[in-house]
Amino acid sequence: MWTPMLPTRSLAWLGLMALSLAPSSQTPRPTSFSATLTSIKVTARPGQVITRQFQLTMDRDQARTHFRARVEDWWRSEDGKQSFYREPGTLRHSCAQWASVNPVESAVGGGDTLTVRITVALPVELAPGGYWCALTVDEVPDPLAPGGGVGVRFVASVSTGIFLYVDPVERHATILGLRVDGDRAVVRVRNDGNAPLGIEGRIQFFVPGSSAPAAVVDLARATLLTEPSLEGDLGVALPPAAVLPSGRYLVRAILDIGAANDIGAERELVVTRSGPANGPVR
Amino acid sequence: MVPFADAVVMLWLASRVSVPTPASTTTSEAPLHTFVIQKPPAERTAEGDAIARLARNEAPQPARAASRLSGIAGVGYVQHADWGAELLAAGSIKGLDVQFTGLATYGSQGARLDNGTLTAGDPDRGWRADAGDLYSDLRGPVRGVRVSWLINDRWQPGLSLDGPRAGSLDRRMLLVYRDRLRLGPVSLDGEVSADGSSFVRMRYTAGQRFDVESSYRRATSPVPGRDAGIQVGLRVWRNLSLSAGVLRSERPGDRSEWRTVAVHVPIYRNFGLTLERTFTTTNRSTDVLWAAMVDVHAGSFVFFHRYQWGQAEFFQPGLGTVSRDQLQSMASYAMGRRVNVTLQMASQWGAAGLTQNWLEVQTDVRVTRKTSLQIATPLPGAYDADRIRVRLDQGLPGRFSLFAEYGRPSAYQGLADGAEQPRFRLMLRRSWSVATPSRGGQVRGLVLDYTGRPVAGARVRLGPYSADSDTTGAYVFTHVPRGEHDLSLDPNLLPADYAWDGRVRPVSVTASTRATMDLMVAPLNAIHGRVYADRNANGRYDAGEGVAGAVLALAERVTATGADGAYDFYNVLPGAHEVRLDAARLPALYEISGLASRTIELKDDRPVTGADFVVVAKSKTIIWREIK
Repeated sequence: MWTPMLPTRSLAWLGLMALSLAPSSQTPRPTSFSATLTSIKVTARPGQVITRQFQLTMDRDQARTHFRARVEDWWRSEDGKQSFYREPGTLRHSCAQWASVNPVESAVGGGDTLTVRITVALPVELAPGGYWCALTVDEVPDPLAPGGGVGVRFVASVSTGIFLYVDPVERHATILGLRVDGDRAVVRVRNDGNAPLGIEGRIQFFVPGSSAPAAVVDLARATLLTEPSLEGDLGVALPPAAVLPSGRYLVRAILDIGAANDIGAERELVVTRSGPANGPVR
Repeated sequence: MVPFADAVVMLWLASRVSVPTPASTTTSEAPLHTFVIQKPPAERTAEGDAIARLARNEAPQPARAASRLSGIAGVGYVQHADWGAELLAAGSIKGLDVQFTGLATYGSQGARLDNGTLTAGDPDRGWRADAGDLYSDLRGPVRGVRVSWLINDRWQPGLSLDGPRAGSLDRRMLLVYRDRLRLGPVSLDGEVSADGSSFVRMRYTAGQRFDVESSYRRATSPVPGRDAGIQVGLRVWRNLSLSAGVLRSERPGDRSEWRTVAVHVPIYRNFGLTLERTFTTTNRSTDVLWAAMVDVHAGSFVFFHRYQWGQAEFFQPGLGTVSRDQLQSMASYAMGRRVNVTLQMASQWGAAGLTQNWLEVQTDVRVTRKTSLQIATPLPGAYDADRIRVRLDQGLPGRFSLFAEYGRPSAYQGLADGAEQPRFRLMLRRSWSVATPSRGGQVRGLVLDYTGRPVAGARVRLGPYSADSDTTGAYVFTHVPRGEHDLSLDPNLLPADYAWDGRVRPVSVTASTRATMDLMVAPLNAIHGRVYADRNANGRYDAGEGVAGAVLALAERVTATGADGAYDFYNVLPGAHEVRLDAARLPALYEISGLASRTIELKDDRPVTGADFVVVAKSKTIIWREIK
């Protein structure tokens, strides 16, 4: 199994399943490794050259595996459920076209560590704000492996976000909406600044007239970019119906957008519970 | 409105945004109120602070432009005596190593500097100056000024102007030449003063097995005399050691000779026995002493026991021979890390029986992290106000501490009503540390590739310090402390388009160093090509002619072509490289047409494209057979 070192606060995922030519007699085991998943975040000056490292360590019992590294543009759908990858330069605030990696292609044995240097050379003329891209390391078929036959092969892919901030960075956001969709509470936010925002927060449910919340749920950390869309939904499952039964509530969302101030919004909402839900409750 | 439980200050913004309700199981027309909550300063650590923290961790570490001078200052009061102020300081100012210790008092004898020493030395230029209370091998403790120079690593001559310390009988001021010479395992020290007195000492050390020290002293005034001595130590095996010494002294009307020999035998691990015989002859008596010492170290328990016996024979008629026995014992036990108890005992017997018996218990207690207490009390008579000593050190906020002592402190002016009386002393101390200007060498240079182009963003390391090259490839280290440092590039933070040969360059840095050292890296580039079947025989690749899955090798590196027949070797050093097409692994439908390998000349400044290989579809003869 693929094991993330720091699975939270990272732009990382796995599980590109690909069909490829492989011996038909048996299905190979999925590649397992651990990797640096902390996003690379740097405050940089125009013209600066920045080099950082990405590391991937194969589990001991793994066979020698080929990897290929590349830098590409990346964004997420507004509901945060889908990620998209495109050629460098697709986005205006892409840093992929300024990046180079070493090694691009390498083979790693069981227990060994692949260290990929990524260098970003910022242009001299660069507007303030945030720029981002993704370093993706894909498992590629071993060129020397015997071919033949048709089968199913699982190949691994891991990505790490690269965020560059050129001062002055403005971190502003507006909460556009607060709603309950079935058994999920959703906050819609617009990024009014000039850089990607890492957003954390919580949603509180008050029985009208009460000062203590009946339930509080934490929003998982999410990243709100500045393009292709400025807006995004942050959703979380509602607490169990026993904690938050159907009824009218004052629902309040408080978001930490990494600025000096938190932002918040509240409105009265009717919650209708149709079945059990399992959101984390404080 | 419901108050906020977790907001310190709430600022309502006037925005009231109506949001269309999406299709869901709930509907609401209630307006949306938005607001801003000002965070307390401690909470402003989210995104921006995390990035700043990362930046600090990943930033280069330059040498510090400032040094520090640290120490303790205190003001004290002594019961019935005087006020005192003490100052201890050590550190560096402008590259000079500076140390100061001093105690000034105001009392019955007015204001005076009881003791104090100021030392300043320049380790780069090799000079050192001392002023205040010094020690002379000829005259012992003196007060004066001393300057010495380290000519090279072996020779250090110096001059002193030595005067008397307070209370000294010898009131002369003398110019003294001092010299120190190191010749491998041999070191020589000497002094010659303006009155003709001289002193010389020779030490020889052969590892930890053998050492010998001899000295000769000749004084002309105020009391003429001569001393000569030699002491030898030999470590025979493990901790079994022998030592012996002779010292002969002559003064007008007084002559003495002291000889000693001792053997130390390790009995078992931390248990040792030392036997010693000392023979002393003066023009008045002959003294022969035997001594046996036992030392035991067992964890937190330490025990030392010395028993000596002998007799003195006096030449003066009527005094005859006197025998004496003496026992000295010391036991120390540490109870954890907070309490240590030490028991010391001394007993002496003469012909008339027990002549002296002395017993004392000293307890050191670390009461808290900031409080330590020391009590030394005699036994019996633990509460004897004349003999008990109590010392308390209490840490206070703001780097202050309070030091209180009862007993017989030293280093203050004599008491009006008797120097030996116990007294109470109180000191308020404060530790301090101030930044001082530093001095250091400078190492600068350029990071360049083989073509002379500057390399920006390379992390250069000089010993524990680091700097990044700028857009012109320049790096600089300033205020580098004296020492031997390695100049290198950090291979992990070298821009991805370059390779470094890992050659570390040693740099010897002093305060006056102004070195320029360039670092060279190799530019990396790529080789791009295709494997294709030239079906239309036009001599070039056309869409659809690529051969996927062809294997190519460059030295130990292997890659395969993609769906369009393209392959790439990235991060390749400049020079000639052979790219081979693996014929055995070609897809079964193809075979190589022409060469299976190509020599590619990769330049310093650009990638190679068009490193193509042409294959052809295998032609198979069709054999037609009639089926009956």
